[in-house]
Formats: sequence, C-alpha cells, structure tokens
Amino acid sequence: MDHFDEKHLSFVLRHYRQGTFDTQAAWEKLSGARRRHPVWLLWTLPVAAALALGVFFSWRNTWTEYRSYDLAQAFTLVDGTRATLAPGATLRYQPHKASRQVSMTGKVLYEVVHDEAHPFTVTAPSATVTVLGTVFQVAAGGMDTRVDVTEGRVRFAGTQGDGLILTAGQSASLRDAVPVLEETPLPNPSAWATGSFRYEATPLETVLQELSAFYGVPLSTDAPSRLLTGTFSTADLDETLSLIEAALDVTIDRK
Amino acid sequence: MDKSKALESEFRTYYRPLCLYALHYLGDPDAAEDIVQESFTALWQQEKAIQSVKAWLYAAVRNRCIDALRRTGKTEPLPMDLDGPISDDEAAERSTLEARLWTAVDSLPEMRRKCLLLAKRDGLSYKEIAEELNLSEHTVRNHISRALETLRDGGPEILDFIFSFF
Repeated sequence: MDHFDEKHLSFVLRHYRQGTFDTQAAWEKLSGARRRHPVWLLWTLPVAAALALGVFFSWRNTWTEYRSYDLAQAFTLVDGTRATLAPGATLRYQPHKASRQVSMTGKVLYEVVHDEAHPFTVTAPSATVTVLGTVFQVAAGGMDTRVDVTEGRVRFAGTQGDGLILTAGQSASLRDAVPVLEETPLPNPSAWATGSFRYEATPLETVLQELSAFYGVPLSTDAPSRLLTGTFSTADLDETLSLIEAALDVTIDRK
Repeated sequence: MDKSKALESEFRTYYRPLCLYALHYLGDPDAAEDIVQESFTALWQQEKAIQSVKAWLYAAVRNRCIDALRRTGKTEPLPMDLDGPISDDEAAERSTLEARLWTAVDSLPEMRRKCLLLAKRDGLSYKEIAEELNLSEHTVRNHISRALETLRDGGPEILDFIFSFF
C-alpha cells in the first residue's frame, strides 16, 4: 500500500488539476453546511469581486482534455482546428488562451486553421511541431515521434537543435532527439483517420507495402513496378485487392 | 459517534479514493466528481441497512460510471489506465493509493509542483520549462527530483496525518 510505482504516478499526474477532488469543498457543498448571517453582506462584496477576478484568471488557464478510447474520434478546437485522435491518444489545451498550443500523446491528425499571428504548436513528450495552417499528423510515443505532412509546411523539432521544415508529402522521425527525413514515405499515413487510400501513379510495390502495414497482412505481387491510380476505402481489404487485380491485370498473393 | 459524525467521517475517508476510481472509468475529473457526489447523496437517502458502506459506495460509483459510458455509446465500459483497459478490481485497489498521491501533489511547494506537472503531464522538456518559468535548467531539474523524492519518501506518511485531520 505504501509503495507506488510509475503507473500510479503517471495516472495521477496526467489528470491532476489543482483544486479538483477537494474533499472539504465537496463536503460543504453536499452537507449544505453554510452559515447564514446578515454580517455576510459587509464582506461579501469585496470578497465576491476578488473571487470573480480569480475565477476569470483560472478560467483563462483552464485546460481541456480530449481522449479517444476504442475508436478514432474527431474534435474541433475553439480556433476551428480539427484534431482526429487515434484510439488511446490524448490532447490537452487551454481553450481560452490566445496562443494556440496543444500537448498530446499517441497519434493525432491535425487540420489547422490558418492564422499567421498565432502559430499552432504541438508539444509531444520528446518533440515540438510548429505550423501556421496545414494538415499534418503527429504520432508521439515516449521517446519516439513521427510527423507526416499532408498539406502546407511545419517545423518539427526534437529536444535538440532547431529542427527541420517539412512540406506536403514529407515524413520525418526522431533519431537521437533530432528529426530525420524519411526517404520513401508511405503515401497515406493518415488513412486511419480519412478512411481512404489515394494513389496517383504509385508503384504497386509501395501500395502493397502500405496496405500490409495498415492491415498487418503480408502481401506480394508478380508486377511490383506497375503504377496504380485511384482511391480505395479502408473498410474492406479483400475488395481493394480485387479492384487492384482487375484494374492492373496482376496477381496479388497474401504471403 | 452520532449519525452525522459517522456520515462525515465516511465522506472524508472515501471521497477522494472514489473520485480516482471513477476517473479510471471516465477519464474526466469533473464527471468523476459529479458521479461520486451523486453516489453519496444516494447513500444518505438509503433507508435500508448497509453492511459495508465502502463496498456499497464502490458499487454505486461503478454502476453510475458504466451507465454514463453506455450513454456515450461504449458497449464494453472498462476502467482505463494511460495505456489501456484494466480490471475493475485493479482500479478499486489503486484508487486509495492514487488518492494519497493526488493529495501529496496538492501539498507540494508550488514551484516543485509546477515543474513536475509541466514535465510529466504536459511533456515539456527541462529547457522549455526553464524558459516558461524563467528559471535555469538546473533549477528545474532540481525542483523535479525534489518533488519526486517528496512523493516517494515522505508522501504517504504525511498524508495519513493530513487525511485524519482534514
């Protein structure tokens, strides 16, 4: 009982908010144990004014947290930015602050509303991503963070160095606290959120590599260099494979 | 001990652990607090004799959490840890210790608590915390290790004391 380990502490700290779960306040509220007396009026006004100020400042500093459980879930932040959270992901931000800063864990796809004056900043346990307005995805583990950019430009920084500017279609992962560009990024890193795979003259080999990784099924073909163009739903792998086979007149094996 | 004293003592003993227990289900401190308060109100309106108040309260909170999650469309509501579901027993067991940790974090000196939360909750690096709070990186590191030390060593004993006088 007297020993706690990392999981207890992490859970408490992740949700901790000062003044929450206040036993005394809750007891007073529920037991209705408030004294009423005319003398109240004398000090009620200044106290109420001070309280109102305090409430205003703590309201400005309030954190909102979103969490996605067993399905991907989309949330719209107050600036209109859309964040789609993969299962298990969390996102925290202060909705009443002018600066646009969110902190997150897990995998999140962002569609950021353009606002030059207020850059949108994502803080993950081991990296920071700054953008003006764009579509990009951050997958943040403890030490490992990966960023995939769909539209626009973002700056991706680890805990060391100034970071790297990524443009549409580029992906990078942290290596020793520094982001490194991926040479052959997969074309649809956010298929889990968008529900579709889009290909434009993509080599079949790359397509199968992506589908294998997405569904966890090994896939191979007799014509890896054929080029594929089209959009396929993530809902049904079998259907996607037979459509590709018919369109390109090739054979795809599940091994 | 008369009846109202007994109610108050039960409330002070179980309020925070029940909040942590509900938090494992709901992931939202405000919703957790609402459900625990409703459960106490229900306890006080209960006419029938109750054998174990603790067991009754845990069951009441559990049922309300499960109902709340079902209303949001979850078919199999399970308590969660940060990286996935845990059993109901585990959540109940952990709630007492985690309630004490919550109190221990409450009673940390302000700067230590701030640094600890920015690092562990918000995932900022020591350098970013140093910039945000206008401190040196060395001081930030110091605050965090002191905070963890307090929680690890002194935390639980001091808390027993706080709990009993609360």
